[in-house]
Amino acid sequence: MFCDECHINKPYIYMVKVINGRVLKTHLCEDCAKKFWDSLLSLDEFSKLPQFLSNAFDPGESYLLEDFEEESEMTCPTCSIKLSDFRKSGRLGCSDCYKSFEKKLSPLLKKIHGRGEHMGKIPSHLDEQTRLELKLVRLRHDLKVCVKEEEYERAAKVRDEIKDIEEHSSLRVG
Amino acid sequence: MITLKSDFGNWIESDSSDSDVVVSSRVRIARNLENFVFPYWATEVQLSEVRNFISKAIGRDQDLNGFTLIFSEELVPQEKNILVEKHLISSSFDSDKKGLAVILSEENSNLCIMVNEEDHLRIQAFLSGFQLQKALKIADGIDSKLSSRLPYAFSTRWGYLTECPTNIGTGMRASVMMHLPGLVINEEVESLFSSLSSSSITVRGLFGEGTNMAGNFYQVSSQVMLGKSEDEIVDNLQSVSKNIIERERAARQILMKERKIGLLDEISRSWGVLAHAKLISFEEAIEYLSMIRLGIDLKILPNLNRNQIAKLMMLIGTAHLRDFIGKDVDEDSESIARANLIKRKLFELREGTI
Ligand SMILES: [Zn+2]
Ligand SMILES: [Zn+2]
Repeated sequence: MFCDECHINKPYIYMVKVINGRVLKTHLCEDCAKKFWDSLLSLDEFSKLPQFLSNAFDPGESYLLEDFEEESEMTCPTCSIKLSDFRKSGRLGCSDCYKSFEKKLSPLLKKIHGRGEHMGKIPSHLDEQTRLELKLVRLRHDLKVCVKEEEYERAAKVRDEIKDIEEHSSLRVG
Repeated sequence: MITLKSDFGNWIESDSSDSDVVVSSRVRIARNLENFVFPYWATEVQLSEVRNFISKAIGRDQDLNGFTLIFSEELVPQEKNILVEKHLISSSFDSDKKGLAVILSEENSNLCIMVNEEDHLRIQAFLSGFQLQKALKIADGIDSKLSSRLPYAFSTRWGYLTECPTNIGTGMRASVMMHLPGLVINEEVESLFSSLSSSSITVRGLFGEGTNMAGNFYQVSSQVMLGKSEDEIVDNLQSVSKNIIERERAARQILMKERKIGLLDEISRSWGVLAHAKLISFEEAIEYLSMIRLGIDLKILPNLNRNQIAKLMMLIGTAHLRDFIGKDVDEDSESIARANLIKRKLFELREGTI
């Protein structure tokens, strides 16, 4: 059996698409599945994914959620939203849901956003310790980039900065 | 209390660089509060709590003087229309859902914050022409001020947390609205956009569906939320957009060289239809107004102003039109009203310029 899209590769996932109310069942290879994800994410500005979720979470057929059913009664203690509620609506109940459903949500978030970690702005209410931790994550990321691009002078500077933070705080981790 | 004058949100008024191709620039930031239920799941009481919490935070901050929070229930239809029409609030404010609010700045009419729309806070800066960096600066500035007063939901791994998991990370989207008639007529648009597919940029037609675009207006927006900083994301969009602007200008030059008379004909006919039609749909009107705009940009219609055309494009939208003629009208009376409005406006524009 081959991928319904490219007819070259072996199928990797089984996907149910709903287009204009018509249900289309397709087998997609990994590459074509990625393209499909990308097309979903290109929905304007702030996109929603309920339609997509109801597709990807189609019982028994989704690659993401093999054992999803049994855990869909999982509930967030802060807002009382069930995992199955999220599944139906594509909307989380509160910011703690990210922790409450972490195990189930992480693969989904990685699929949507790739492997990146947050590199943007940091809210001002964070404590000093957390700020430094974040700064270290970013400096280590920069260091990797410098080494990869063979910018050894800059790499040395970044390394010094990392050392500096590590010595002046208790953050001697990883 | 702030009163909305008709010039509120005057992004459309001012002329700025590159506005021959870029209609407007927009930056939106989504933020949520810790320990409050997200709007979709919140009861009316819970929504009010969020609204009061934010209202208090703004009230007691000296830095945030000049901001006013208006409950959605208190916005009169006319005010709502002004804000929706200027793209400053979304049409979900039109529904009967209670507990929403909008925060407006007295100094900066290009800034608007929606409370309890899809996220607890949606900060939006909207400027005319190509002004992405400035839009980011405005939105980022108010975000920092709010951040010192409000406990934003944040994770070191995933960044700012949002109701829909597609928006986590920076929580920021930047976009520009572009007018690309040259590339469309020269049939270069498809190849241009497929060449962009690896640049973390999304392009979509602004009016109409799929390949059936009306009026050559496109929205080019940033796609990445995680793994890049806000500046990197905006810089990337900026450089991709610059590239598109150059290609659009080149395409227009080619058109002027190779088929000037055909172009003149099309622009004149567009004017003719708009000035004489008795019934006109929104899509058709946008199509012709796009040609008028091109005529202005190419100095074929030298006495008109492209901002006046941009304004007219807003006025002929269904929502706004229905406000004039009543909610329950059939399609024909809507098309008649639209045709009449356009005719009157074009006549005024012409009168004013002679
Ligand atoms: Zn394939
Ligand atoms: Zn929750």
